[in-house]
Amino acid sequence: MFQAFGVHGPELTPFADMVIDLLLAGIAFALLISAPRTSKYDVALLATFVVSVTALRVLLQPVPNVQPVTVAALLVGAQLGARRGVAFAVLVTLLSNTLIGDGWWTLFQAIGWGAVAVFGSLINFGTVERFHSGRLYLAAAGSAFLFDFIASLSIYTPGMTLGEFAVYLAHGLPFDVLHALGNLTFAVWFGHFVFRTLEAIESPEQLEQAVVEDNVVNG
Amino acid sequence: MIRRMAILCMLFALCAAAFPVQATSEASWQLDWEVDLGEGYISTKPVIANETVFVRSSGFWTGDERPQVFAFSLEGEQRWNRTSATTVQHDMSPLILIANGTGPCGSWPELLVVGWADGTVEALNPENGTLVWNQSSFVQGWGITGALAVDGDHLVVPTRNGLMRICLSDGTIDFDVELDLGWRNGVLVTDDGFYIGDEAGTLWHVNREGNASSFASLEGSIRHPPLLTNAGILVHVQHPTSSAIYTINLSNETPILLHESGPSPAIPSMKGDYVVTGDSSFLSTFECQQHCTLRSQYSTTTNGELVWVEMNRIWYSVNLPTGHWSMASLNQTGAITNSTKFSTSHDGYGTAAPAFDGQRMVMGNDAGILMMFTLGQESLLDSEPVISEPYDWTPAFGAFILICFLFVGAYSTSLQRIDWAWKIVVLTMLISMLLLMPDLSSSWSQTVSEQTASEKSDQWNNTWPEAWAGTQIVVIEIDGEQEIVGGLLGHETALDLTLAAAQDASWEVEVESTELGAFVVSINGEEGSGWEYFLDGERAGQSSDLQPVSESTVLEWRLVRR
Repeated sequence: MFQAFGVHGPELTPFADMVIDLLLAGIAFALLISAPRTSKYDVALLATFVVSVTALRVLLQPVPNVQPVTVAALLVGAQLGARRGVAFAVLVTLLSNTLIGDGWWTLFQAIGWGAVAVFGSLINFGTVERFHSGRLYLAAAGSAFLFDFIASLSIYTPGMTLGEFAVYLAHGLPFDVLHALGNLTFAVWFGHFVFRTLEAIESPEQLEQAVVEDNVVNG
Repeated sequence: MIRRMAILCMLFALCAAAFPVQATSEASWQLDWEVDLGEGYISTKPVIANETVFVRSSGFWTGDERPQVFAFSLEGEQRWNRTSATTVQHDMSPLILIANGTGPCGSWPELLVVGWADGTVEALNPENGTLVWNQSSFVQGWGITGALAVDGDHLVVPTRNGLMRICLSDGTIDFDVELDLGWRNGVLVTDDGFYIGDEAGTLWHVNREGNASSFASLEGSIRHPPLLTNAGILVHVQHPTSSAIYTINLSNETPILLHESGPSPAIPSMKGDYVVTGDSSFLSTFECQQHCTLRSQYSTTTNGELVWVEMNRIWYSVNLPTGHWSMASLNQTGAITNSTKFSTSHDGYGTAAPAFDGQRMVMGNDAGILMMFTLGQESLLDSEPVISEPYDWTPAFGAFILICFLFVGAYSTSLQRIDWAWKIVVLTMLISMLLLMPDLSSSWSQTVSEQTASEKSDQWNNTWPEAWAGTQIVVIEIDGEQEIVGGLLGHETALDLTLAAAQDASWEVEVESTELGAFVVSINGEEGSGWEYFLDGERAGQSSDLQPVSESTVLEWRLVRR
């Protein structure tokens, strides 16, 4: 299944590559359908957002480690919940890597951005009217390090000591800082706009709350 | 409104004042002739005397070719050449032409003295290249690689492991003192004896009786003849990824660190009170009165010879794949005011300085082509620089844009638009970080590599020849198959070492220049999904042209297939 160990960890056979992609796509699909009461409108908006962020990632690929996906995953997780956030992260990773390079690292990038989405779902950024921008800036900068650490695990191969892995991580520290600064820039420029746009899709929790309130009122 | 316009105009004026003015007139050096010396580098500057150009080549070692010494007429006709069948790599000891004379140890005719890397010193008749006398010295991997010097009726020779003084009349040895191993470590002759550095960073003093003592211990390698300044002995010490310039007081023998600079130092040179040093990061000038003081730095890559032309010009070779020669102009305080490029049709790596003789200039680089230039009507030596590098406006423009951004940010703040001020400041920080990233990541990787160097494992393979021990070894691995070249010496970056191995083994290496450094695209046509390299088993953290390598290292390139 693995052909060799190279720059990005194990080099996959085409079959292994396909298996990982199918697995990730399956997870994304399962997470999406498990999210309750998703309307066609919501799916269309989320799909549009997936395509837009994918295009932005591909467009910004020549810029070293400036990753628009991280802040997007953070905000999707915060606004739409962990499951749709993870599905979003997986879909963007799959689609963009199809264009800029697929491999073993796709798995770790998907996990990394998925983790960022879960992280976002745990933070209260407030409402559109009373938006806690400071929390978003801190979370955006912090999620860069979270994602980079998880993505770096793809390089960890049999025979590599923890010390060697630590040296590898240390070499990448300036790029982690750059990622954090890029996230901060996206958050400052577009954070509130994306947060407001995603408000149009109601999260499962909001939907459940609405149903409960409806039942109570109409009782 | 008028006040705002005035402030803007002042900003523009300040920016404009910061840009240096440069000459842009046509070149006045004209190529007279050029000669291909065959397979071999020109690593040290030629000598022009007696209507003759003397030059030496060092080996590529791709075939049967061997290093040679040539004599050409000023019209480019070869008068004689002399080949060493026994020398080894890196014949870089500068040629030295010695006028005839008489002394207590005898009389000698005019001599062209050659120090060979096989440890032999040969005194040749400059008229016809015939041997007058020769003498042997210690060899370990190589023999003589540093600059020889004349001491009255004697010749002082930096040998592989020490210092030898021989009589100019017949080559008999006066003394041969054992010190420590050296490389390109020329000798300084002073009234109280001789000073020479070694690979361990020891600066030795040897008196005229041949008694040696350690004068100073500096961590690193001393790979040039020390300089005697008013402030003491000056040395530029090489470290794995940086260098340090010291003066050592002659009376109390205390080293004083003057400055820390880039890796792979050039051979420093002195003129009056001024000293010029070079390395892979800067050309630097110092003024040495009672103390030496850094006067200025100019960003460049120069690792070989530096030559003064009068008090205000320094010629140096830029040692890069796209290298050329350059001439730095100095003002009256010894500060570099500008540097002008001198490009030829054989640009590339080079360490040899040009040699001058009146209206003539002769030069050669690693391409092994000797070129003679003559001055046109406009004299470069007496006038302002005539060949200018086009000024690179990118950094100035970038700085201007960033200043504008910050100005807008400040203006937004003054209007209570804090959100916009934030946006502008963060964007400015991101752009600045992106611009700094190539240098920042490179410096950071070097620091991390230095910190972790002690953890490196020994990659020596017992099946390799013993002769490769302590040398530089390159391994190319394609799909588990390995090709290995060993016994290489003196290469300072991973890329240099790779290209040297490629020449030895006839590999084809395709290198692409990027913002983050050189990128090896393919080796022997194999691209795969990339090449990665390891130094002594450790994955390298930066591009190969920026990665320093030690004198004893195993560099391994592995093809990555997706």
